[in-house]
Amino acid sequence: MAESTLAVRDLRFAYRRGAEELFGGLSHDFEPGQVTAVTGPSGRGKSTLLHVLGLLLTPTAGEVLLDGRDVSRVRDSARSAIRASRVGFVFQDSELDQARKVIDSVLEPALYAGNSRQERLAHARELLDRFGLAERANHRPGQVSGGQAQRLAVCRALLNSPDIVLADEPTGNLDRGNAELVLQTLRSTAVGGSTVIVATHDPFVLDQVDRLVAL
Amino acid sequence: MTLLREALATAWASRVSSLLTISVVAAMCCACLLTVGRSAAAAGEIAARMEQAGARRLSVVDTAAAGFINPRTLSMIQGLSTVETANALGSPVDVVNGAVGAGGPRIPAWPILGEVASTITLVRGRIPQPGEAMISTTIQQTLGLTEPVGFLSTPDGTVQYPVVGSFSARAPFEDLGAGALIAAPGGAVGRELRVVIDDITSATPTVAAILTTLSPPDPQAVSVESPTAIADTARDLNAQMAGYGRSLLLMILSVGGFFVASVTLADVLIRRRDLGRRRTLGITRSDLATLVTTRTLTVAVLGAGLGCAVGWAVNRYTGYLTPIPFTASVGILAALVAGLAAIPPAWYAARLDPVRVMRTP
Repeated sequence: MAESTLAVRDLRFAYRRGAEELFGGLSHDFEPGQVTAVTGPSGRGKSTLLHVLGLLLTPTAGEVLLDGRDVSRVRDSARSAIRASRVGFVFQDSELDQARKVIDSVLEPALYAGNSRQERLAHARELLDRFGLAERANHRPGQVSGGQAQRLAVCRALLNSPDIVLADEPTGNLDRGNAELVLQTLRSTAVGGSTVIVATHDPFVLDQVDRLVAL
Repeated sequence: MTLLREALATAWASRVSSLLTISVVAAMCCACLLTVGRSAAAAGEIAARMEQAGARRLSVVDTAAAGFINPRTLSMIQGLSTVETANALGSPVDVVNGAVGAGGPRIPAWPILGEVASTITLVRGRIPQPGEAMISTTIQQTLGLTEPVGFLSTPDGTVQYPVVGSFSARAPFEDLGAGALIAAPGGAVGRELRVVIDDITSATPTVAAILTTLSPPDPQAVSVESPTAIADTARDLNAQMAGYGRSLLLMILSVGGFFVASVTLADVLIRRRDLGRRRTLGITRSDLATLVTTRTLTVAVLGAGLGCAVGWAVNRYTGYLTPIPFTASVGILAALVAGLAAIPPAWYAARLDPVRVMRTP
């Protein structure tokens, strides 16, 4: 898992022709085993960079390299497959399915990666247990706290043992205690060999990451 | 299988739109069965009546006693592939109970050519040999007989026919129940040929084949009664009802499909963040479109089942027995239409930009 490298070369992006161009030809290697923070003032494209790295947006210029191969312009189905099997997403608002139990939300990526629910159920329970959420497995998202919901979102991101974890302002809506728990969770994920990239402007997070990419 | 499970889970999660879809599809099925279904039931009833022996009977009368209805032509007609049974009757004669004599009640007796057993049901005794008679069970009492025995005779007593059995008349020859049958001797000719055909739709070619076989010397000497006109009328009526039914069915399914598409699109718009999350987590566009379509299809199947059951029951309660295959076809068609109607919203859902929808509050 620690062998892959995510990198960008001469990266530029604009939402439409003639609009402000973001990233200014960014080149960077995101190392496995490290937590990298993408920071900068609002509107400089922190979340957009995560979306480009997650192959949800196609750069205007430059490359997104995964294992040395440019994957930024491959077919949509191939990008979906990469997202499903190699990338884990943590959203700012956790984005758990409100209509289902949290264990179902955690298991959701297994469906898209082609793994059976039964196959991944033990791993999901193990993740919940590791992050102190085992007792919440059969609760609804409305029955857990914001910090627990965000840790559940991290569990979901880790279900398919991804090489890359992209977290967009994961501590943005949390108090300091919960933010620390989520950050610990992400750090332990990096220690496991994953490349963890966090978009944030939270000084508390910035103090604890391994590397910084300032936009 | 996993996708189906997920589709069921999302259908349960979107209970309002699922209930709306179920209601629309159930209403489609009910409307179809209460309109087109009744037409189909009526058409089925007409078809069943056409299948009854009475409707399939045709008769040819030798009005000039030219003798072309004889054992040879009868045998040929019996051999036609579209003929179920064929018999020939001679001119009826008056007979009385021979033991009572001319003062007794008179009944008609028909000489019959061909196989008697295919025309009547034997109740007592045996089928008569040439020159013997059998009486109907209803006329037995009129003759003052407690058992079908004794003999019949012409009122003047010159000809006698031993009674060897009794019978009950069978459709479409109920009129024979008013008298007796006499097995005609070999070489006798008949006056009336009675034929039951296999299928009413073959009436026209069968009449033509019979007339060719009989070859009456004078066209004026033959009178034909056939169900051809009834068959034509029934066919025209069925065609008109079928055309009307098709138009109505198309209209109901179109309107229902439009509503299902609208409900599915509304659900896609309401749950776009859910769909955006799925795209971000890695579901492919085709799988997402399949998920949305399958979800609509699964609830549509429930709606179709419900609508068909209610529609069928209402029809039955009001006296229309809608054929089960027709009812099942309506259900399958309604579910398929709902599935097809869900494809455009599903395609739209698959094309949603996940980044944009995830940023929309």
